[in-house]
Amino acid sequence: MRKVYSGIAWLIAGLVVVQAGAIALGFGGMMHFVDTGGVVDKALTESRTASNFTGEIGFPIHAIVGGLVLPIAALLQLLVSWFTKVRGASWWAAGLFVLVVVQGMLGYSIKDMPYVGLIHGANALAILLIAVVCARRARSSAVRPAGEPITADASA
Amino acid sequence: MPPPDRSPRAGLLRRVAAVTVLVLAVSVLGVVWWGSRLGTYSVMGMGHVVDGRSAAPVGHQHLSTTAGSVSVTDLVADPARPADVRITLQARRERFVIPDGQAVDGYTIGGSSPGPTIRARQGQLVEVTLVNESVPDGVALHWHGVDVPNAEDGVAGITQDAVPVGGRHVYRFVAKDAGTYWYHSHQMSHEQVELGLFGALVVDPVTPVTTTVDRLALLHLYAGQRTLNGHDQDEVVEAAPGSTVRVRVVNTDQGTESVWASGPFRVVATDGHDVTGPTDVEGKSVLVAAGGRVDLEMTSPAVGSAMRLRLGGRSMVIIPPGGSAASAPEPAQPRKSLDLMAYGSPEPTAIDTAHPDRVFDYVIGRRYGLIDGRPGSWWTINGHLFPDVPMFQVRLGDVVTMRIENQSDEVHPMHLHGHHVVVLSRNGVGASGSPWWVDSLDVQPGEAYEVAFVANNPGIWSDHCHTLPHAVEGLVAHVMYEGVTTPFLVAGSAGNHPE
Repeated sequence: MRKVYSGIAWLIAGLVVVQAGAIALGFGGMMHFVDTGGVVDKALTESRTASNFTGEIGFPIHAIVGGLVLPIAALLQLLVSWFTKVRGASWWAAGLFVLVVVQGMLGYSIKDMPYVGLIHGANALAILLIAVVCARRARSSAVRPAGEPITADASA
Repeated sequence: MPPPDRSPRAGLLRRVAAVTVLVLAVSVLGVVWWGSRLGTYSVMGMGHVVDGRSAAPVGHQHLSTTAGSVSVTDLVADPARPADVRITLQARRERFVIPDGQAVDGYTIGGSSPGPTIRARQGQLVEVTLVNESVPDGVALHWHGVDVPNAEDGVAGITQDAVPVGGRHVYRFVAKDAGTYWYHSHQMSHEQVELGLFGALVVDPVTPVTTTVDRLALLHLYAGQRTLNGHDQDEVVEAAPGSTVRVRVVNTDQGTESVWASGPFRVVATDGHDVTGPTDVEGKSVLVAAGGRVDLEMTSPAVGSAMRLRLGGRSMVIIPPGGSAASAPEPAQPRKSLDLMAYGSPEPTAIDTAHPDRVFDYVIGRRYGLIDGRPGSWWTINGHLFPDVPMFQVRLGDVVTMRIENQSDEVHPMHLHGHHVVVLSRNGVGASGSPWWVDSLDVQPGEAYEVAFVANNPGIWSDHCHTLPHAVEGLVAHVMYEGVTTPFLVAGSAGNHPE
């Protein structure tokens, strides 16, 4: 379980990197599209028949990874943490899960409150940091003495 | 906490319990999934009836088919009256080239996309014969914004069966109101409209105004190509200096289009209804909801100058005869848009909205769930997922008010078939300008509009979001007149899929 725990943690860290890349790709492509005379408006964003500009794929990637894949990964991490014998694993996993959920909520709120974007970016780095800490703790953390109940972990 | 019992018997018990819980959980999920499948159904038995008298649902009852009931197929224009305007339109699934643009694998109607513009005079009877030559999913034509008799509404599965390949269907209606309208498929509409199965319909007043230059601006995105009247390029309009130019903007896309200009213009009509006392608009854009229309008027510029009208991603440049379009200034996109609720001069509407017979709520939200077996984040109406949506029940002659509130995070262009609604208020602030009549109303996130209409056109009418993929995702309800029934089924052997 320890390997699964650290594996998911690394996956979450990697997905944060994917998120940064995807959104940069999307906005880069959009700016190029605008520079060459393209117009981005509601009519375009609701048109689902074709790729309108290079890099457009970055936006759905960011939405699907952030809105679905990362929350599921963080939830799995939390579930796995209950069965792993790493000290404090559940607390770290719970913290990570909360940050990921908050990140999603921030993401959905940016449209209404653009300044939320500043926190969204900073929180992404926090998720990356905590995910790496989780993964490293799983590797280095001392294993509990045999016979100690697993449930003690969650209430530690 | 004592250490867990590790005897083999306890282990077996635990395993049996775990398997039982798992089987139960999977069974419950399976039943929920199975129950969410739509299959073949009649809209008459869909959702829950809301009678609007107490603004509360009266339970999961269905409208009774009383002895005095009338079928939607009987709600037609006078069959004895000969047609004044006759046209046959062939629908095809084919690859076509956008002039000045790229090829599109899509649909044509009447040999092209957009299809031919149908032009009639107010009061004339229009007769359109639709022939499906090669659209595999079938076709039905909806007359967007025209308050046609219900049988002519062209919604597959409600007012007719989708016309199969080789089939034909005749639509007959009187063009009662002058204005700008359009027609489009209402079978698999999210796909067929996006890929070309639509055209414009213009109804001229009884005494046409001949002194103005009258132009259509039909906007559509074909697979990323921005077109104006079917061409992937801007248009130049020549008009004598000082003359009045009318531009009929039709948004056939799935999202709001923004229109602004380098000079003053007036909004003279919205969704086929005249604005009273329109004044010059400067430094503001006009937003056109998906499916909506605005008619703009402007004075043609003097010799040596030009005026640019920005139509979303395209432009129309108005110049004096022989003038140069290159001199047209590129106007910056205004940060503010015109509020049509406070535009023009007030005028009574002849609807007694102080004492409505029916009061309805149409609250749009969003949540995770299953629609037709597909999991996703779907739209809700009054908290319920499709098909458990309200069936707004009315009686002929009722004055109806409806509060449309958007609690979701995206704009929704709400479109009621067969009627025009007048905007009463937005977020509690009353309308103060010309009566603002619409059939396609953009409701922004956090907004609540109160609208009113008179139930004067019996039938079963769709009331849905015109960002058509949203309709597929469950943003569809219906207004149903007491005693009206439909023999048609959604899905079924005719393969009716209105959205």
